[in-house]
Amino acid sequence: MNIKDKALNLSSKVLSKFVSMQSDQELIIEFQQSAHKEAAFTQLLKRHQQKLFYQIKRMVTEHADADDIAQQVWIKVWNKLDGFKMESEFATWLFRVAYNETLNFLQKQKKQSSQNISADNLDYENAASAADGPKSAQIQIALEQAIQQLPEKQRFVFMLRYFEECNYEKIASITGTTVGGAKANFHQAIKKMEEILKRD
Amino acid sequence: MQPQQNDNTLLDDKAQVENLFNKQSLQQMEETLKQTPVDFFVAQEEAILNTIRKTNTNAKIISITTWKKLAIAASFIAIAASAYIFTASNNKTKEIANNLTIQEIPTSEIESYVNDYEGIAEIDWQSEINKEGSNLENITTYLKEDSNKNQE
Repeated sequence: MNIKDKALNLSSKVLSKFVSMQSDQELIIEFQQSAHKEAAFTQLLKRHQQKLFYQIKRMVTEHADADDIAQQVWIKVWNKLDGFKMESEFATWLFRVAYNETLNFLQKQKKQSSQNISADNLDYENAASAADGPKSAQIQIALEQAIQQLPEKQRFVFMLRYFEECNYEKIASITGTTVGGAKANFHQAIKKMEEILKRD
Repeated sequence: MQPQQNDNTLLDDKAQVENLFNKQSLQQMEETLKQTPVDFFVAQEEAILNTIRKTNTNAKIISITTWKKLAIAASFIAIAASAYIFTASNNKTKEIANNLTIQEIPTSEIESYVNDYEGIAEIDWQSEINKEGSNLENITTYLKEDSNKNQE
């Protein structure tokens, strides 16, 4: 490696270090004003990619589906980031896009294969009735089954609150409801899961 | 997404869930969910960036600056305004024509109109007279023939 290459390598490392220190807002400004959008976008992607993917996967369960939805979300973000006015946090906006995409996917899936869902439930039931399995595994199956039976919105709110530890203000702006509405969704989700557990 | 530091209700909410299902099961579920293939996120990042690069080369997005936006908006407004003025003036003329009677037009205006278009009026009259004349000639020849027949 000659001196020129070393210098280039070093400068790119310094640049990437500088970019990684920037806040979301600074990266968005850079995206909106610069002709080299990709560097800023990549940084935003790296920063939020995992959390976004996990939240989508909590909703759709299938790894491949979650991957498809996450990719669609990021492409939408690329297309719309120029018009983002920073009225909310980037993460909130990102999760809102993801919320809409996931709900659209679930609705399409529901229409296409209502039979498959009942087959999935049957699988759960068979697994849960396996008496020889350890108790914790049975609880786990019951938990997953209960979560899957929640209405989409309640499920999304429940996941954001319990696993992402979001406050209700953030949940409300992601799901497009009021703070009271978000609270109600979370508590209705718990109540419903309790009923499902008692019933089963 | 950062959890809010002073959210006391968060602990209560989590406790409520953990009363229903044990905490271990919830953690286990989350761990299972987070199991992804090796370098999955690197591959996903590449896939996203490749799709973006492809769409960018296929359809180059032209960024419109503020003054260009204003120019486009101004031309739309100009088209709409001229269309409105044209239809409005047409309607006004029609309205005047419908409401006006000949008695309401001052004599001086009628005279000046007649004077202005006198040449055309004369030509029209002349053609009408010529037409009528030819008709009269036909009638007189017809009448003559008819009277001759009667005499015979």
